[in-house]
Amino acid sequence: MPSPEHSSASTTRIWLNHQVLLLVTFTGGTTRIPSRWRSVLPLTDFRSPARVELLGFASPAEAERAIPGARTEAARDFVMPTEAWSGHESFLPFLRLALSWDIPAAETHLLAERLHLIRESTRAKHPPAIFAGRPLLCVDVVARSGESFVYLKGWWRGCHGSAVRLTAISPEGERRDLLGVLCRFPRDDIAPAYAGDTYLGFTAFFQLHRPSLLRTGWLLEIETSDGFVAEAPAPPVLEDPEQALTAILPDLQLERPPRPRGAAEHVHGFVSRLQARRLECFSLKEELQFGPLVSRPVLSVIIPLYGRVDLIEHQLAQFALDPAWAGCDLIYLLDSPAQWQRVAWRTEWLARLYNLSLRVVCCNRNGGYAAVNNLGASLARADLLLLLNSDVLPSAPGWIEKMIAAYRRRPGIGALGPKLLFEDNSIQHAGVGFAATSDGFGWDTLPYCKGLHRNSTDAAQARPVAAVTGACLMVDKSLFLRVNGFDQGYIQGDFEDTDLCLRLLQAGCQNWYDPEIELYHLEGVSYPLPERLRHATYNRWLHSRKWSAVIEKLVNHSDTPFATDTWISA
Amino acid sequence: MSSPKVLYIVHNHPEIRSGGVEVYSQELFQAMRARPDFSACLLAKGGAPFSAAQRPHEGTMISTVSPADDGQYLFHNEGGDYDHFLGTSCAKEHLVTYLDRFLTAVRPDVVHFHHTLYLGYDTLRQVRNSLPAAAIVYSLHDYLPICHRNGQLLRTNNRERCHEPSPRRCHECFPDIAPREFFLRERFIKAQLEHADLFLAPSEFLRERYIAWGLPREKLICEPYGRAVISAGPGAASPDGSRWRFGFFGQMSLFKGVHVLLDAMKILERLQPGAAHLWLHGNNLDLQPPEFQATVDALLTDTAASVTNSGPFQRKELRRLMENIDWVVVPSLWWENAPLVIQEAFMCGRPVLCSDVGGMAEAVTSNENGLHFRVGDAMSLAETMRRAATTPGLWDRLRQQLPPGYPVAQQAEKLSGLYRQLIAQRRALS
Repeated sequence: MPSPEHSSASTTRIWLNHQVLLLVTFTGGTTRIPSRWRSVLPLTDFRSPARVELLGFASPAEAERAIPGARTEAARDFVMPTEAWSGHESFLPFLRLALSWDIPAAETHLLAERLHLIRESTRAKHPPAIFAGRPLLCVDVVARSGESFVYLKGWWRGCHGSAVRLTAISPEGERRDLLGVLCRFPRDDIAPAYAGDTYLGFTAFFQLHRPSLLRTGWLLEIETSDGFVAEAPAPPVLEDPEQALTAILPDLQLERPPRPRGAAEHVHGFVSRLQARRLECFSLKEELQFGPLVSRPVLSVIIPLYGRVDLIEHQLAQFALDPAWAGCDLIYLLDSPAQWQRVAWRTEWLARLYNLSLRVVCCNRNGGYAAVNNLGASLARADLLLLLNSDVLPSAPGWIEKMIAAYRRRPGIGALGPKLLFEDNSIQHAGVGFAATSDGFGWDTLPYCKGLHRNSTDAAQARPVAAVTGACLMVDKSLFLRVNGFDQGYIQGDFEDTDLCLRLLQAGCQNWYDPEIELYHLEGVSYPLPERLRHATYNRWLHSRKWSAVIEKLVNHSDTPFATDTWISA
Repeated sequence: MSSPKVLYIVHNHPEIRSGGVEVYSQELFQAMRARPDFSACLLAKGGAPFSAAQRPHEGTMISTVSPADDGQYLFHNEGGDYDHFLGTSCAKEHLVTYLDRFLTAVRPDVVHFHHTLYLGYDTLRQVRNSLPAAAIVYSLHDYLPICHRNGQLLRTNNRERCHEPSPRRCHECFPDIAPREFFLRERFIKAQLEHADLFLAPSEFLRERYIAWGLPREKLICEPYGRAVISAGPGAASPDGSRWRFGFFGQMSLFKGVHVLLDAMKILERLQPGAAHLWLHGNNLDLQPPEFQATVDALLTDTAASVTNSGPFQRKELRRLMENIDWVVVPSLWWENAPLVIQEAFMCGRPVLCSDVGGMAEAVTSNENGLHFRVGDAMSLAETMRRAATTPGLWDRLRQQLPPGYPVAQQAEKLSGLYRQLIAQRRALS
């Protein structure tokens, strides 16, 4: 890299970290650095006339090569706010550029901290948003997905006229006007505590232009129609996805019914970013084959494993009693990679003890039900898929052949689901329909015959159904791929299966329930309950948003284009 | 053609620690070994937890029991990571590698299991893998596969005997374990037991329990324990003809009802001071829960005048100990299977007073070769003891009607026939 020409007499050099240099040239002279890490900002009001340049170097060593003495200078500097910064907020956006540069995480963080200090020394400070001893503006939640997607929730008090400006300020100094993007709703829960005023809640979801890394330091500014300006600090950013979900998912219920561009959409915007981020780096990490590879398998059985990895042993002990497994391509996919060593070791010996051929696949991170099954389908060697949960056990050998036959003898079939039983011989699954949620604003799944005895006549007939559970679902592989597999937008575990089945119906197929095949499903063993309930709220909302029109047709009209029988509408 | 071979697999060897099943399986093995038409071999679990001895040689988990004996082996699989709930050892590689090598080297025609504790029920699966043509026989010595509470079938909340275990009821006994876990347990154990060709139940009672649990009726036969023969002289009655000497043999545990017997002795001391005397030949009181030990200690203090607590005994002393008493009392609270002590009492000519339930009530016919009392009821027991001691001629009459013993050699004879039948069946299959 050519060395920059600079005159130390006319240029102030300020190192923001080991790799980012701020040059303030007061003479208007030029520097020549043909680097992609270079930005120039003409500033007329900065000890006029001046140019400000931001230089980035790929590493501290490169900085030292380009500017001898950089290392010592940088160690000395790491800019601290000085008098000179005051009143020059205008180059904060310019400095934030450096955050998007490709520099190591530790240094990026340092940079973010410097930017925060600069923000603090340059911005106009306003009085705290408290009026007559009561808060005027309050931020309840700030959550961030990645470095740029932000969800905010808070409220303000209706006094000093109406709000004409509401601005969120990132710790690194980026300002976002919120009035245009926020969704308002009454906060009747606060009103009783501070009688006399009106309280307006809001949620906002937006994307920052430059990355934000710091957990603390978010601010909100409010300006009212009678000229009052105040600021309120925000609580620390929720970065952990599960914590963020816990805080945010209840906001789905803020508006009843959910409005088209309302809070639920903000939640959705944020959660879909979380999901996308989770899946961005999701991939197969390792794959092991135990036992001889089955040649020309008739069925690929895909079983995600999460948490309760001991269930493999229970399943293999049962599968080994059924000769039909000799023709099956059995794939376990571990979705909790921390358990991989244990699973790989145990499964090797279990495969030998039970004389079964199987693959175990380790995902590099937790991807959720949809992603894992989609990955499984992409690895399947047979033309027919059976998606099976790890807590499903056969009630007797012979079910695989029966199920394959039941699938094959129904041309135009989409998904096939068997009768599933709890351990007390009550029905866990006999097909799935839909019922309006109790609040009437969406659709819930309606598990037919759940809790009735295994012998119940209501569950004794094979019939077309709207959907079948993903706990044990047979589907043709090419069909599965044609409808793009499971929708990965759901947070793992519920509604992915009905979503798939509805797409199969749309594609002109029939989904079937067939009680001739019976298995046990110890529902919930493989998925802890509180987490599941939380996620289900979102999934239900998303599912209703996507499918309400179709489900209404399905439930209300027996002559729907979908070939489901009257039993569903009964 | 060489004579067929039977391999006995036992969870422990009497040389390591002696227990009922260990002693019985050893006797059966020796009787079968003595037969000219069968060769016999025994593999007992060595290593933890029964034995402190670790794996003796590098590269194998098999070792001999004693240098001179070419028919008995120890399998030193590590029992430390044994899953008591499912009844399986976490170290499958020990089965898949070392047991497999042993089985394919020894090549028995019949593998007869006596217990799979610390070996794992899935040992059956490995035997089936290694020896596809061998017949597998499984002796059921207790209710452990059915009941997680040490196979006692005695409920934890009220000591009620359990008639109908189910995931829901088992969860009531163990509230921390979800019903579905009991379901998984049952399914797992059954998947392994599936590989047995024949189950031997020492009592009809136990057989019916396993049929109710779901084992196929046709695979379960009732086959009492054959025992090494012992006998004892009659022992003299008191001058007035009464027979007030009682004996207890076995574990000093709650399940065995030793406290009920001591309560009954307290009652007898009040009813008929100085008449009755009890000899307690019990072991393992030190292994019982502290509160139960305290209960027994207090009762022993109260009954010091009429109870002799002589502690553990050796089987070879049995004859002498039996000669010292008139009656054997079996006051167990649980169902029992086929208590060895009843067989021993009968062989020594002692009628038995026992609880009126389960395997005890089956082995003893009341008023024919013993007397029943209400299970767990000290008053009923005291009354029965008084009646037994004072009814003129009762002891002699019952003594004359005791069933004949079932010598272990005779059982070996019977089993050799069964084994042959099973071998033929398996050959026909393959």
